[in-house]
Amino acid sequence: MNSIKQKDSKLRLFTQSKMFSLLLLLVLEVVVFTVWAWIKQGGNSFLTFKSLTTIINTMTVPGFLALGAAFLMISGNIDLSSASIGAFGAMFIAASIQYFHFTWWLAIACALVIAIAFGVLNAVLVNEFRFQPFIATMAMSSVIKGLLAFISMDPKAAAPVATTITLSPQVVDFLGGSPVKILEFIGKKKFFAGSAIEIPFNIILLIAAFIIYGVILRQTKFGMKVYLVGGNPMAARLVGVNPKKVSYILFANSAFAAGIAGVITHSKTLQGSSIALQADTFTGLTAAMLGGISFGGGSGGMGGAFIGLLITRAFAQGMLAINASSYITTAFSGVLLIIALSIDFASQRRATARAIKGV
Amino acid sequence: MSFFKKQFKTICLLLLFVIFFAIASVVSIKNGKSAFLAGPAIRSLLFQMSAGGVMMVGMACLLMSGSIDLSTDSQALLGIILFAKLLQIKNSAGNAAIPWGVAFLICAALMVAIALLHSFLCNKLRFMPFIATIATSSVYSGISTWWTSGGTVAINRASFVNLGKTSILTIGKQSFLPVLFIISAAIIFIYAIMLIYTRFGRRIYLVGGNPMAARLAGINITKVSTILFVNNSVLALIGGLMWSAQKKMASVQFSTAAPSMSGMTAAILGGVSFMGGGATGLGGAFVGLILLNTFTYSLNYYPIFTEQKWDWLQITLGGLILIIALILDATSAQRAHRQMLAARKKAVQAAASKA
Amino acid sequence: MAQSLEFSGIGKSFPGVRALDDISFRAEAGKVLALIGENGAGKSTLLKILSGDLKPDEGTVSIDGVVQNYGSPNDAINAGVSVIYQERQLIPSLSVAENIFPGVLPVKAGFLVDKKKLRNDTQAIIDKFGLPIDPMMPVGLLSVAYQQMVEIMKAYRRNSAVIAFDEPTAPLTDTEIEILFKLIAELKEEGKVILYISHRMNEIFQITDEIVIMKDGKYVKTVLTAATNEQDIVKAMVGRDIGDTYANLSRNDAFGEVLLDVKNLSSPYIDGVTFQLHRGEILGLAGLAGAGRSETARAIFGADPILGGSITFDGKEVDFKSPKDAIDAGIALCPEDRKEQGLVLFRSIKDNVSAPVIDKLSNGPFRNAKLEEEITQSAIDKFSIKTPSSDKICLELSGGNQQKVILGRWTSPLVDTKLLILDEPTKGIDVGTKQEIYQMVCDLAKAGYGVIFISSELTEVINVSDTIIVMHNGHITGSTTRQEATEESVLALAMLD
Repeated sequence: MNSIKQKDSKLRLFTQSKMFSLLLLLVLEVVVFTVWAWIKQGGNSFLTFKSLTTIINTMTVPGFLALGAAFLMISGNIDLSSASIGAFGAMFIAASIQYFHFTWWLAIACALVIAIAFGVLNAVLVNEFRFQPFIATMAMSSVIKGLLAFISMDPKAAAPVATTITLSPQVVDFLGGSPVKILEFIGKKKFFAGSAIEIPFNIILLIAAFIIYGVILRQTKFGMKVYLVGGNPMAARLVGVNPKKVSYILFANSAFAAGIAGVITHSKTLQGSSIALQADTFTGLTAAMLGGISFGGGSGGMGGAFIGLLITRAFAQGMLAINASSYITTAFSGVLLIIALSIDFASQRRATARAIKGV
Repeated sequence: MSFFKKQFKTICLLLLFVIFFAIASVVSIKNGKSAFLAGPAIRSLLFQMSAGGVMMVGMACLLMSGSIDLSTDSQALLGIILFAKLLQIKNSAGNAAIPWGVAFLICAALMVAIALLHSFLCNKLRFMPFIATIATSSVYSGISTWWTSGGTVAINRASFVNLGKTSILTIGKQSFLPVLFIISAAIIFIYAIMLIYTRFGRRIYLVGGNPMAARLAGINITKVSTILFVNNSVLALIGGLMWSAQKKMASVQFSTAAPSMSGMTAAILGGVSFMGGGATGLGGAFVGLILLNTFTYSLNYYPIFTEQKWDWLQITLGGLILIIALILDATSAQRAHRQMLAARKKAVQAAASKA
Repeated sequence: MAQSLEFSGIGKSFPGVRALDDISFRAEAGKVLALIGENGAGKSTLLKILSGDLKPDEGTVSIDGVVQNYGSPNDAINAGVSVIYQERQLIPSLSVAENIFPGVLPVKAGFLVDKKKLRNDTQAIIDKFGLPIDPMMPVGLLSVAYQQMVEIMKAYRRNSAVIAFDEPTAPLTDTEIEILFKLIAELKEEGKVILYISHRMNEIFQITDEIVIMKDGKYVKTVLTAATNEQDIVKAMVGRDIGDTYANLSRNDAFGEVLLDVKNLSSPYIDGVTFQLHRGEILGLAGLAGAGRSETARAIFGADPILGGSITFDGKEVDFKSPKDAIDAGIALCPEDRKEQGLVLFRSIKDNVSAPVIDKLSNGPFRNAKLEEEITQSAIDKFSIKTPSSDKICLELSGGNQQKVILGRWTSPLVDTKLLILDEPTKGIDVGTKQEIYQMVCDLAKAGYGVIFISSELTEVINVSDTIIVMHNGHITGSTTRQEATEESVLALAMLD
């Protein structure tokens, strides 16, 4: 008898959980867009394999940004510079290969190391100089954008200008074609290519990353510390956790994830561009918040963030299916963010109210 | 407390400004004439400062009250696009239907609506201002870019555009003092007086310094907050229009210029406290404005920097200067805190030795 | 100017606690009325009702016979009531003048601030009180004492008829106290109704005319200051029937060797603290609010910087730079504010219980879910924590159960705690659970832990502890044992200067 009761409450727990309402939201969104697109375009233009593959294709870059953002937000911080760090990474790879003939692995390694360095700088500003996280990362963002313009210039050119760098065929030949091949593998390789369900390689990277981070968060000691620091930094200190150390690691991680996003951006286009990732700054934040990462820190998980990511991407795709202009999509992403915030604030208040009544 | 001690920081900044100005003037000497200390250059610099100056005022007031609005640039963009579109409306005779004064009022109404929305989000729904305004920022820029399809709306109204060209006073046959800058400076001056000499101005500091104490003093915090949001949005429109008058268009390029962000940086540089309250008026902010703009603009006149390859430096410097200014503020705050702890320790020891 | 302030049948309850019960007394203009009582007697609650911060459940507050009905603190201020709290409501970056006239700066021409008038008006008030303060100086640069005087001047400017002081002399030196008393004398002469809350007997006898004594939320009596003495007051404050609460506690009688040896410890908040604690001993730290007990605990725990003195723990001299060092050495702290500093409320019981030992539970980077569950379950059993599962988040537990989670956290087998510091462990907890906790504390002593028991409830401290140290104003004023202590004697020490 007891086991039946337990099972019943497990089901009830699930339906009350955030994951459930998120999945519900996702399903709702899909339904709305399918119907809308049907009405507008007279046919199934949203719920198709093509849409699905587009979503999957465009998911990876914002996905990594969301990953870093979510992890950081659980600890109560925010990083507005991650998009710039990613763009910098992409540009660095292009520049180092194009101008200095770096091999592909050296370019990627250096890009990631520099990204982590930026993350550490953010952490220094927040921890040692007590900057507000958003101000620190916002200021760093402009600095990094400037450095991005700097490295995009061809040192050998007579009058170097900030530019978009595309890996030229000469360079590729010079390096025996391998850098491009590897980068193309990262960026463009698709399993079952050409078929209806082609799966890009980088999405596998993304899913693997989410799983790994999810495990770290749930199952490792470090993950527990992240939750503790995010939930109550003072109490965390009084049980022996070092909030500063956690903060450093998470800022570095956010930058690292952004770096990976940069690597993938570059690999997809074999270009470094100064406007890369600009639109994605808030996608990461929105996805994380939609996914139940509370802005105050201390709750939420990778699973929720992933679904939040799906919701955000499906939204963009849905807007395309109903032929909305990309600018309107940007506008409505802002609305989506506001909705995400309201959900967050409302659920916080509900939880506290429930608790007070229970006491 | 002597005047000089209080204004120490501002005087330092002023000195820095003079130094940069002098360096630029000297270093740009070509053929016996300074390219920087000349009509066109100064005029250009002052034009640049006009829009930023106006928007700085709005941002500074918000900061002092402990609030912020990060969507100001997007709001202004939307405003100027509406303005430009309104000017294009023709009546049945094919002439321009709307005088630009009227268009201005209509756009101002839009800004007020936006400000009221922000006030609602932050005061009624209790969103944190910076998060709410980051979110609304993409809404406004999205609408703006959609409306213009990412392009430009030209403005040809002579009476309006002339404001963007007119300047008075001359150095060596070239006029250098734009009318727009005079307007901008006048606005800054009026607000500076308001902040220091009116009851409402002092209320702003109260709200920012200790909202609880402000409430206990009978101040309606929501009212103050709403007024400041409206103030910021309308000033943003004015700043945006100043920019449009100069460039003769409304375009998304405005977002790249981001005058409200540099205005905010200037204010913080000049000592406006980021955490609300604080004691400085707009004096420091104004000095911060001219210092920041002069420095970045004058870089164009250093011979080694004339090559385009140094463009990146200008972009980087904005953020770098803000960081340095905030670090200096933070370290001085830490020092003050340490001094307070030491003083307290002495007091405790004195009391104990008496006991 | 008002002539009287009257409390009539004031009652106020909070969940599980009757804070005030039928409080009735009257304060008259031109007199200083002292309000005296132990912590928990209800003084602060009464003050909050007076200032409009709280609404009474029963009863009324009347000024000159007119019943006051405040919707907010602002209403109270407008009605002429000013309460001067210990936390100042000033804005440090603004001048003294602006803090005295917030929102009501004198204006000329309708909207321009009349700086000259502001300065003169402020100077007039400053002169009335004979203070060496510059009216245009930023308040943040003034000493704490003078900041308090600015608060008083603010109340004076408001023309408040009723002015209440809440423990005003805590941060002041002797000279500053003299200045404060001079001010109060002035206010008295102006015919204000003055309420004065304090623990310090000598002050009460120096400046007050009448004394109202409260105990356990009830009104005891009013006495004329001139007609009473210290012993009588203390007697009236204590003396309650404790029944069997403490008689049935099964105690530990065998103490071990010295576990903690504190010599001359100083931090920014305490000075010259010296005492010893043995294994198996419960050491009570008694005193009134602000005496320095929590600060002593924090200094020992490494949470506050140590400015002088030495701590020897378990035979070794130690210098903890952070709580983590203290925890590793075997010291545990259950903080005073369990919600703000003790628990991560949105996390589960399991997370909170395993928090200090996460690193020790397993060798690799992964958590050991099985061990976590085990130690949580044993904590739940040992302390009878009422919860359906170990995954319930702490926010949803009652205060008593929350406290038990914290106790469970520090006594789980892997923590290796030797010294347990409990700061106000029964705050806000119902009587039944309190008894459970008392027995748990005694059991811990029996198991060989050293326990430092900090509480503002005198009865509790002297009946649970083996040895009691009394603190006042940041240093130790005396010590006694459970057998010898009486509430009166301990209270007297707690109020000693």
